[in-house]
Amino acid sequence: MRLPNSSKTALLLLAVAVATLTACVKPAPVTQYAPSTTVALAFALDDTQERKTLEAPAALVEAVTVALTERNLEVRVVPFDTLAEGFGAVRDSDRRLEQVAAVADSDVVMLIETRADFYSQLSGRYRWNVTTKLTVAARSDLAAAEAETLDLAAVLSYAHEVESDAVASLKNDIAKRAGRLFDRFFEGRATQGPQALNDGTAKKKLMPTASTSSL
Amino acid sequence: MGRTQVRSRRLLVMLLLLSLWPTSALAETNPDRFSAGGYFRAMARPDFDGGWSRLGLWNLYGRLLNEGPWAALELKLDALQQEPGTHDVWTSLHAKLEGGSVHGADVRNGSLENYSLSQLYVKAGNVLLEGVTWQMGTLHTYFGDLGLYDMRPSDLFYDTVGVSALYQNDTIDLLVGFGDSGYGKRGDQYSTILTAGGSLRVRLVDGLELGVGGEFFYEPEVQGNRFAPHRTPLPQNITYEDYVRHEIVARFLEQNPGREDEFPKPVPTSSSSYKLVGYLGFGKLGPLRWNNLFVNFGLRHPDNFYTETVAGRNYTLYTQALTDQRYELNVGNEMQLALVPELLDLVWAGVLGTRTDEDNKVSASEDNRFFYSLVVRGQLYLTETVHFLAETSYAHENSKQGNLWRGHYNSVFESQDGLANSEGLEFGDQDNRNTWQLKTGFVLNPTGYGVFARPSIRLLYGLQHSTMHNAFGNSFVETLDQFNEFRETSDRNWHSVISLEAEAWF
Repeated sequence: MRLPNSSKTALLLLAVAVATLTACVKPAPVTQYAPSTTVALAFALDDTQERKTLEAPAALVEAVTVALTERNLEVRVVPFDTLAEGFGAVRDSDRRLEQVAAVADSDVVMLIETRADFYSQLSGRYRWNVTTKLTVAARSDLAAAEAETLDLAAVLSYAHEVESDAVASLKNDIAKRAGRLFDRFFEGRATQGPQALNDGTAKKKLMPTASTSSL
Repeated sequence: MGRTQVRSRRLLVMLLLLSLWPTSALAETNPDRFSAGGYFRAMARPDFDGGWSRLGLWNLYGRLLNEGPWAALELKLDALQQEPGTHDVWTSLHAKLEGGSVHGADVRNGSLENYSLSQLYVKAGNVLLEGVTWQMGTLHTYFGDLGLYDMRPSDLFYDTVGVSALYQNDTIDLLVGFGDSGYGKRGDQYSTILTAGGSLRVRLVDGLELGVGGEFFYEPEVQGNRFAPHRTPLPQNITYEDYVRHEIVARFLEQNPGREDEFPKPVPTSSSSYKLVGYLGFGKLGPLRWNNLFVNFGLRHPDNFYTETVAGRNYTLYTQALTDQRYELNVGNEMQLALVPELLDLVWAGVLGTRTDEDNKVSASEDNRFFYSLVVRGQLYLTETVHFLAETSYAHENSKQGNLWRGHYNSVFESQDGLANSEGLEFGDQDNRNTWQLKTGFVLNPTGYGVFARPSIRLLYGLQHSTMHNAFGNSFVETLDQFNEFRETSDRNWHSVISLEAEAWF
């Protein structure tokens, strides 16, 4: 096969461009907390038709768990069965947080509520609106909770994919935001610990568990 | 500035104002009342071969590098938000603007003339019937698409404005619709085309579903409406060949000199057409994510009329009877495989189609074709966000009634059995066109793994070989005139482009 000169020129340009792209970006290390900090993690996937709450997709639970575990936190996922009935009856985030705190045995509680609404068939894909509310609080001071709401678009390939697929497709986005919310929550409440690892980045040490009541 | 442009700008302003609509306060996970979604693809595609920045002629060879820019913006306003656990009425408004031009990326330079309000509808639930979603306005719907081709063989109600009702539960989706496709099909030659149809999708078990559907068009006879369907009775000794050459009147006057006023008058009639679709989807089996199989069979809606001018006098010829037997069948399949999760994904797709015009037995045309194509794409994940993509395709197209394409630079005059015939019933010197393409390069997907994960930034090289000469949009001067300063001197079967492009659903 003999390629015309124009094809060779195009290939050469492509090779140059790829070489330019080889520079890689090193991801910033995540904040590390004292290993004794425990976090109770609860999830809800609210049904849009019925007044009931479904179990969040396992992929999301895993992604958020990883995001927090990377921060050296001890994550305890609250089993959905223990919350399903209460979550189904109540959709107010504050009251749900109280329900989580009541069954959790941890320093901090984090509630991740999701809801997926079908948007439309859009240029060959199935677009969903996924609304997520992240709430984090010290178990002993729920009134000082911090929350963040995300409105994300999930674009799925197939009609058979449902709400949980839409949420699962955004697991990385939600997990990253959960980690950052956690960091923000502890800003001002954390001290620069002497034991901070020296890897070239600022690393925070959460106050000992006994002090978390002052959060 | 034309009226259309003024209207388009007013609409844009209205839509922007809509985007400022206040959103709900959040004590729970309620979505905003207003939201916007969309799609775009834009690219810089240097073409060193004199082409128009597309590797091949159409997306039968895979959509990648064969499609131009596109942008779509869909806006949604929840006028009455759905309240879970209640049977209260809810309603949402949808508007979709889309078109195929971006400034600097194509010859039309992003002009808004290339954009249209392609969809506008209201959805409402719990009105009259519980659990039924009503849609009023445009009704376009489909079971799914062939992502590698950007084709939707199962689409229904593309041209229809009307009302539909959708009933859904865990097992079935049942849709029935009714409306008018007159403007969609006829434009400024509007004539009512009543449309009725529906679809049913059944989820037999998790990982297996079936779908069937269809739409039927009926254009009634209307006395006195020149845009309504008519047929012009063809005089004796007039053949289909005369119609192909648009010489019916000339032939009539040859046989009937001086009888211009006796040329047959059109007779009102009615027209009908239909489209049937089928769908089989299965997956969730080991490395098989999902497989979509689509089929459609249809009878195209008859054309309306055209004009012949003889001796300075215009004659309108109605062609309902000459275009009412154009059948088409299309089959398409796409399979998505995760061969090595988070390392290598593979998608393959194929389409097969045939077009038959029972009226036309004499000339080569797009309505008498057979084609098939296969596209295979592999995506290797170098990292979570940096991927290597390779795609290849092969397509065969056959004209069932003679030559339709040119194979050589000097075959300009070959139009009838290899001989020059400017009024011939064929074009070119080939009745087959075979096309092979290869596309490869790097993809940056910020959202991670997945062949169809978006947004996507791609740096690709594409190479095509076709048995057709100049099988891509181009600016060549295709004439053998001795005074042509840009005369071609050899066959051009290869074509390549390099492309830096971005694509996203949002």
